[in-house]
Amino acid sequence: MRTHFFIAWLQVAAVSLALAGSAGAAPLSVDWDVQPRVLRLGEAAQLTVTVQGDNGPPAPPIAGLTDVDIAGPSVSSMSSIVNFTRNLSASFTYHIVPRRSGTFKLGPFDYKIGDRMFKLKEIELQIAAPTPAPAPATAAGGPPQQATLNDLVFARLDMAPTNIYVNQSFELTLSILFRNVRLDNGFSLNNWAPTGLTLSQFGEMPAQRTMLNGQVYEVRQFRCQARALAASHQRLAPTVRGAIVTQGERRRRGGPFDDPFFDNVFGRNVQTQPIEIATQPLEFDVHSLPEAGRPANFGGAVGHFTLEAQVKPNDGAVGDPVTLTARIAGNGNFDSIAFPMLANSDQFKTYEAKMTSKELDGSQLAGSKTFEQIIIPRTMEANRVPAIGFSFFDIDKGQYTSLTAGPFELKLHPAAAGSAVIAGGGMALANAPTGRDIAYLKPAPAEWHQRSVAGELTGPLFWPLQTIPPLAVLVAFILARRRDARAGNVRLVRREQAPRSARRALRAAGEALAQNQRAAFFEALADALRSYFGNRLNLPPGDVTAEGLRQQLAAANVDRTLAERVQALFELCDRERFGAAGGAFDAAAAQTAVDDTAQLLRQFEKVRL
Amino acid sequence: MNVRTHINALLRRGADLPAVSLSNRCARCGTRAGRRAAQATPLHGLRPFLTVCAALLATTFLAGAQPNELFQKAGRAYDSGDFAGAAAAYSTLIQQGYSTPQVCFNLGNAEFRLGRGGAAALDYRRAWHLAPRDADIAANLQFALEQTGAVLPAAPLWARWLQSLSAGEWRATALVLFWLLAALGCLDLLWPARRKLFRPLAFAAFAALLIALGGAAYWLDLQVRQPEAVVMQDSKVLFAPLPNATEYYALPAGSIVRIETQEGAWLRINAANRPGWLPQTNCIAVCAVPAG
Repeated sequence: MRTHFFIAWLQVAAVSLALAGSAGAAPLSVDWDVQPRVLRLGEAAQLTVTVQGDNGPPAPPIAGLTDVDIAGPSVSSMSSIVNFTRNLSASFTYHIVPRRSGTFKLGPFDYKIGDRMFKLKEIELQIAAPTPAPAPATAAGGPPQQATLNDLVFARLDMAPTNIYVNQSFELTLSILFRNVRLDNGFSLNNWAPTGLTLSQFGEMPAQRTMLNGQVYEVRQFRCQARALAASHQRLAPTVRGAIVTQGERRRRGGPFDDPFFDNVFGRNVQTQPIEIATQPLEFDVHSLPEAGRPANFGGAVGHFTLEAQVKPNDGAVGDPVTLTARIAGNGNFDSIAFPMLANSDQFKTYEAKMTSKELDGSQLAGSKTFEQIIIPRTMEANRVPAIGFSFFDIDKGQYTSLTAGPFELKLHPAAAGSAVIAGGGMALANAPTGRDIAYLKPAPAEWHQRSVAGELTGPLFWPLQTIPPLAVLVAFILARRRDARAGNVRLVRREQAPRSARRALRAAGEALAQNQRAAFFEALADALRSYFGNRLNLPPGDVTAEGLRQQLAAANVDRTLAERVQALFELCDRERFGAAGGAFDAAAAQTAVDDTAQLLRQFEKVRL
Repeated sequence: MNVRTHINALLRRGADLPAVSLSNRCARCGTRAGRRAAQATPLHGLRPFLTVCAALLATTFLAGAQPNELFQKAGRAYDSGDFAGAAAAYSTLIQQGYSTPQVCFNLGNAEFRLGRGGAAALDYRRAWHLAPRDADIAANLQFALEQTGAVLPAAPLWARWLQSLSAGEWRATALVLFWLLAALGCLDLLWPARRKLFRPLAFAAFAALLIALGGAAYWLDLQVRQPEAVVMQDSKVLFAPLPNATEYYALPAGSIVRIETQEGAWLRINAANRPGWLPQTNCIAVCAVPAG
């Protein structure tokens, strides 16, 4: 097991080494920098020379500097492989301390690595002479006096560029400069509601230093993107609201916890004094775009742009789709850029253009947009896709610039047999249209109806009629429920069948009487009684006897007279059926028996059993 | 006094006069001619009943005859080159509520001949709303837009499918399906032995009914909410609803745009996915039943 793991490890290591060996090396480059470039006399700056593409270069020739003390270098090197590319780098760091105040330059230096020579461009340093501290805070730890505060803390609003046209995007930079005071981190803007401008959120830039009137100022910079919507005169004069840290437990400088963050974390005594930092008003004019020379296809784009376009495939048959791709790149207001699409023509059928990609930087002002449009050559003569044009206002030149791309040649061959024919094309046909115009007037409608917004279905009977379908469904539903209920209730079904079965038997008795059939008559009469009471009382056919019926009727508290009449009829039928009776068949008496039976059953229909 | 005048007089004066009069004037209109006309009728005793019937018939007759005459008159004006007169007559018909596809189409033709591309496009679009499959309307609309330089907006696939039937056709389809669904429901309830046949049919009818209601709702939305508008003259779409705002892009007359919102006298419109602002006076909403 352990042997297998070792072999696997060796394989991984071998592959890694192979990859490292086969990886290409990044190109050699040299960069150098000094930070900060604005110093007070006595402060140290850091000089760094960074070499990319080599992790063992010779030390740079930083020598011959007469006005600074230099210490170093400290060397660090690094090697890494990313995406099969070997990145080697080395950096040399020096600490330099100016010996005098004023402005002086470092470099240029020639730096030779192998057989290549690099020139390190000169860097200018500004060194401020030491000045007495202008009472940054009162003796009691309070804020500085207002007279000196405006000198210690002030703000500036700058714009770039300064010549602004309508719809042009530009940068607004708010700089807060301060010295000899500590400013709290939070700032807010007052009186900041510019009209006619669209502004993005302010984002903070890296802190800097600058020298003004021989003093070193710390600078905090905030930048936003602005765009003017209309020609106007703009005056921006915001006030910055911030706070000065006036009191705090002054700690020994240096050490791992020398950061304002720990002041709050460890509950140190930090107090702030709000201040309003005045800003010099920034006034500028937004110029309207000139009418003169405005191209017809100008869509509002302002900036600097390039246009590239191509068609693919450029070899095909009539009727085959061709993709026209256009890429507009540059700097400016990309949201105003639309594709210079081709219109339908006799030679080309065109479809709506679509934006296929949009690659913009964070400011949304630089990048590119790519559009595609499908076009279809209608005829063999459509062997040249017309040029497309795009116009923008060049803010540097102060004039409109039109870009064109194309025309694009197409190698066409006739469409294959059976392939689609593009409608409206210019095929040379015998009956091809020679002119175009609108279709002639239409004849009068067959019927005239006044229309309303709700449409034609608004007659007085319309909505009442529409209640019929749901009502029909409701009725069907009720009927189905009744049917289903009856299907499971034998007593109810037999109760409903009782009068029908009795009537049927009585009809049979009447027929037997008409044919003078004595036995059949009494059989039918008895059947009428049996079927009726059998169904009414839900009894099996064999259980309907005179005695049984008497008991059932007595239990149901039926009128005694009615029960006796039923009993008598049963006995009469039994006598006649089983031969107990004699003599001739008395038709009148038989009819009376039928009528009595019918009347009796009608009375029983009203009796609850 | 001819018969029609007599009937009109009857209609004006109403039925509040006595039914029988001994004077030699008509009891209804108060004229001798009316009396003679009434006496000439064999069923003179049924005069009140006949009066009501005549009034109803006259109403129906006039309602049918007047728009037809006006339509024919407009056609004659068009043929004689009096396009303004034709347009006025067609507009009168629309104001009277007779906004049929034929009237809107012909009005569009008259406007087109007058050189009003925007108005022509508006009328063709209104006609198309009423008869979306009519090839003449589609062709004239396309031609009018080509003349002004406008482009017919592309509709998504589902909208094109719903546009294959007009609002009335979708409503009629929905109505038929509604009754069919009810009939199938009744059969399903009352004839359970054939439930295997009726139930799938009922589900299919229900699905079709939903689609038909969707089609009807689509057109109703276009007619009631009126999100479509036609630009009446060449216009500049601005970035903001301000008179001196930057021009975003130009729209030729006849362009069909989508209204998104309204702020005062400004409309936020969208043409080819490019939202911008237009003065309200520059465009007119497309509605199949324009206000009189």
